[in-house]
Amino acid sequence: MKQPLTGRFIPGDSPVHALDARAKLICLILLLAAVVSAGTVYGYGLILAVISVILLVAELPLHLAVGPAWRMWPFLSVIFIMNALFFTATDPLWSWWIFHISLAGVQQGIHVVTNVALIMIISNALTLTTAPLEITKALASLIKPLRLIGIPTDDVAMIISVAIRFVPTLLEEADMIKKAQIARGARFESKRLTEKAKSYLPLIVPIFIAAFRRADELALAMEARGYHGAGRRTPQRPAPLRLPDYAALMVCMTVSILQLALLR
Amino acid sequence: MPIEVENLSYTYMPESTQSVAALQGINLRIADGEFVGIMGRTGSGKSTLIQLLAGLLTPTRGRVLLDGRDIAAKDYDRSILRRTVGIVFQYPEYQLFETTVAKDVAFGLKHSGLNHVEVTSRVRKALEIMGFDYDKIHNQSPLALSGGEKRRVAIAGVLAVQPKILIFDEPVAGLDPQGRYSFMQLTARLHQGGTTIIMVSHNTDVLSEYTERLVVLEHGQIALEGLTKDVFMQLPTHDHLPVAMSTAQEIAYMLAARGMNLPQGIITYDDLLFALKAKLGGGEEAP
Ligand SMILES: Nc1ncnc2c1ncn2[C@@H]1O[C@H](COP(=O)(O)OP(=O)(O)OP(=O)(O)O)[C@@H](O)[C@H]1O
Ligand SMILES: [Mg+2]
Repeated sequence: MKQPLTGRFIPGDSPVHALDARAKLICLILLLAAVVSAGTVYGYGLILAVISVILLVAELPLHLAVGPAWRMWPFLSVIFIMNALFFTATDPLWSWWIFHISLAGVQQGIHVVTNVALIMIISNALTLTTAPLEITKALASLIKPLRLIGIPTDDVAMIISVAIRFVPTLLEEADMIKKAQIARGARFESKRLTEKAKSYLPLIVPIFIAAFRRADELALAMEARGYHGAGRRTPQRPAPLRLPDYAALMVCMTVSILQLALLR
Repeated sequence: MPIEVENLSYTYMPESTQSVAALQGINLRIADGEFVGIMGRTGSGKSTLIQLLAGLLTPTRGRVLLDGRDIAAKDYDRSILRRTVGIVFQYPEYQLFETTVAKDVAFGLKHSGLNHVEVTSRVRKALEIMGFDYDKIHNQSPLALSGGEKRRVAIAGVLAVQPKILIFDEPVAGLDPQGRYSFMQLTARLHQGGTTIIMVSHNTDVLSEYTERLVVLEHGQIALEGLTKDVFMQLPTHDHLPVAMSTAQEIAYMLAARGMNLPQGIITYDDLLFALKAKLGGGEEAP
């Protein structure tokens, strides 16, 4: 796999990259819970400290880790203003018509904006350090219990992982096709919508053909190797979590429990 | 229109800790009408280099000059580049998309400003160069052709633009000997017609027979460069390079090792045949 998939995952060899994706996914959930339940300055301080450690250990450049959240500033500002203006409090600092600015409102605004930004940064840290294929595999193994309520989780996992498996290949192929058509003089910019749609045909047709070719090849290969649906597959035992994974889980667990403790 | 490369470097994923410095400080000049081969082990940066030459990647450092003008410059007219430099990737057949062969071949001429008659004559000519009967093929769907035919149609699509510089990435990989021979004959004809040819290949026999100059890449740098004959002559003293000798050269070495006194510099089959004829004194033509 040559191309970084979504343009987001950045391969690396830091300890964070090396963690098991299942552990990282659970850590993500724990940290999100911590963010949502954080209520005090100390709580946020703790979360900020944890995030800083993660970013440092993962060797993520700041502009990549925080950039996506930063670029959302217009959206975040709107959230802040809405919260600050419309929060109904008993002791407004300033009132006019339906707008009331109160200390509590401003605090509420800061609170919500901080939460959204932190959630974005934490999720971003996961996708930056974990290959999408790993994330899907982890998801597939975490949804296993749903089998108890009759969901064919093996088939779902198979479909997801095959689809994800082909994204990089197809992206690579699409990249090649795009370069070839550009070299032939294709132009993908046009003002009129119909023209624009038409100008993408030299890309879309070959990419579809490539996708069907790949699907055919895969179906043949799977059949040749005796695949008859996921049901009859011998379950593959996933690799066990290792010490660093458990350590990460413990840390995140502690952080979210501490949040609850700090509330009081 | 000579192509010059100045201190050219390219890095994939520069932001990652696993960034790949695919090319580092390449300097190269390719004059009009040359036939240059590029070899090197897999991952040495050959494809990256030719994509930079064709302006499909933007240099991380350094410049690519076409006719003395930086092709990455803001004010550079890219349409000149597209008209001048044609590139054929390893599986050109995957770029076909039109409903008929003729339309697909004409795709590159869309913005050329040529009128219908000129376009048709170019398309006819390009298809004929690639060994097709225009009247038979032009209305067929390119997607229904055989793999080899698709490839030839796709190459015709590049030739129709009549580029002065033609770049091939691994064009003979996956061709049978007959297909390889006729493809190389075609390339040689284009070269004789004045087209500059730049060809990436792992096939040392093909490179030794047809190219005038060779560039050997290793770890993103030029390890060896010069006239084809000189480069092949130097190969035995560079055994750290993963590039093999040509078959004829190897045979000559084997014969020399068995005590046959052959002249230096046998690279191609013709060289070998000539030397053997002189040696064995037979005047007759080879069958
Ligand atoms: N899109 C990409 N993303 C990341 N790395 C890449 C990408 N394309 C190439 N590379 C890396 O850059 C280096 C040079 O690749 P390149 O394709 O130029 O080699 P090559 O000499 O053409 O090899 P081959 O003979 O296998 O075609 C390799 O290490 C390769 O893994
Ligand atoms: Mg290559």
